[in-house]
Amino acid sequence: MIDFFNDIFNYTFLQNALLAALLSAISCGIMGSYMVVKRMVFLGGGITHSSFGGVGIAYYFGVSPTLGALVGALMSAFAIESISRKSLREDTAIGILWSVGMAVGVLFVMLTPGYAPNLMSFLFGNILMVSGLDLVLLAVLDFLLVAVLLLFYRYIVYIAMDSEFSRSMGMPVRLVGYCVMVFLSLAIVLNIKTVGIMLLMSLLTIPTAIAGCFVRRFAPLIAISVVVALVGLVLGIMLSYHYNLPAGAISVVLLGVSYFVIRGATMLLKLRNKA
Amino acid sequence: MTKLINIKNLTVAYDNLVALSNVNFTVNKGDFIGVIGPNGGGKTTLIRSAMKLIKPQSGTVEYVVDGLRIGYLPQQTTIDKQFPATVLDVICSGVVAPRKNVRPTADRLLEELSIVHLRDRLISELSGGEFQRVLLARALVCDPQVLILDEPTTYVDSTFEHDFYHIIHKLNDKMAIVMVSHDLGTITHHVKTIACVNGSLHYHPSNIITSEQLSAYECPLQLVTHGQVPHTVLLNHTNAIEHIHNGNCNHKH
Repeated sequence: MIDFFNDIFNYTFLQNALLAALLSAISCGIMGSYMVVKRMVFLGGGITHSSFGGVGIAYYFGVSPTLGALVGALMSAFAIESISRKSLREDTAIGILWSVGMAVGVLFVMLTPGYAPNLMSFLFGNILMVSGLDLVLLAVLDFLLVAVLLLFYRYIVYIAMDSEFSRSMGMPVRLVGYCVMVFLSLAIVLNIKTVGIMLLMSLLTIPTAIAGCFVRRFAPLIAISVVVALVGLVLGIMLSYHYNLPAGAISVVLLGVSYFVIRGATMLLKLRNKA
Repeated sequence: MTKLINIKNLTVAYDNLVALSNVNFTVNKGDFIGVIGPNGGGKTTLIRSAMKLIKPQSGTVEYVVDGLRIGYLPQQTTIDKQFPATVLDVICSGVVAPRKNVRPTADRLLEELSIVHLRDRLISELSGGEFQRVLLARALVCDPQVLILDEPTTYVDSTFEHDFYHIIHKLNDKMAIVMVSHDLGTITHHVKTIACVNGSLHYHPSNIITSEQLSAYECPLQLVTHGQVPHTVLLNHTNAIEHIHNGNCNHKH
């Protein structure tokens, strides 16, 4: 472990990884808290996985896969939103886009001639490989997220709590809904680099689930989610460096186990207090 | 009589389905209007139109008083009871103003509605009746001139219902009240006037419902009247009766 702390000062990639952990924790903590309290976790899963369609198509045409993922995520977000408004149930729409997006992605990646890109890094991420550009983009997203949250906190919470009532007070409910979709898509795409498509859902849900064991109001829920996500990611990086295992997977397993332990402990405490 | 809301020749349609057709409706100061009608008859459409939440096909919704404040108690199903918020959070959400400005009014309402002890409780921990008081406080925190209640007693027990109407009656001294309900028996005990909505609107300037008025329901139902001796009459409407109400109540049974 001491090696790790020494190496932080020697290797840029470790510094980048730790910075990425902080930036990912902020965006995942904020968006994850919103998703969990709004019961949008499955929607987030749908957007995350269908964005892979965009990745595949981008590879095929030789454009930036991150840009492809962003277009894929935004398209699926708005498709789910508009389809479910009309004829199809939302969970069905999500299920369709989830699987079709993944399938399109795999097909286009396989059709791409020449060197097959590293699919594993998209599916499972690699926080030790984030580039300077990834960090800048994540930092910009975090800045925007925090600014919007601070400036419009009341609107965001009131609309999340009761959109019908908020509409009756003249709040821009639909505009806020679209903004949430855009931010969710951006957060998903930019965080794919750190933990990957398959594991991102856990970073968006487990920290909030853990935070929910300690606090029960929205603002502290966000703050603790960010801290928990950060601790999980940093521990993941440390263990991954030490044992040469994928950092994303370690973080997720650590967070998952922590959740069950904390949940179990709080339930036991409650039982003891009742007795 | 001071007019507050004036709805003229209102027609509202969703896609091709006409929900309200050529409706005139006025809310005056001191009114306590019960809005009744069958499911899908346009009750909620009427109150949502009155709050300007729906764009009508034709007709106008006019607030006669500038900056009219409307308090709204929607059906409980619109709010997620698991949302991580306390009672005070929910009450303060009744106006879009910094919390410190809302706090004094919120504290006064907590006292008036006897829910001070619930102030810091999470909404997920409240009973149906307690939660309804909280939602009423949220509707009142903007100091409304008109209070609109959508099926306010659906999820509460009868003890609460009695207390609730007691509160509403007291509020009626200060504000006009429009209450949607399918519970004819209860509503006629409390309101001053009745609006019967089923596509069109039949306004009734007393709280006695006649068989003609009930024709708006187009289905068998129990008629409740409050003559010298309160009595109920079972009716069996199979066909709708075209009805233009003239304001005189002749109940037939």
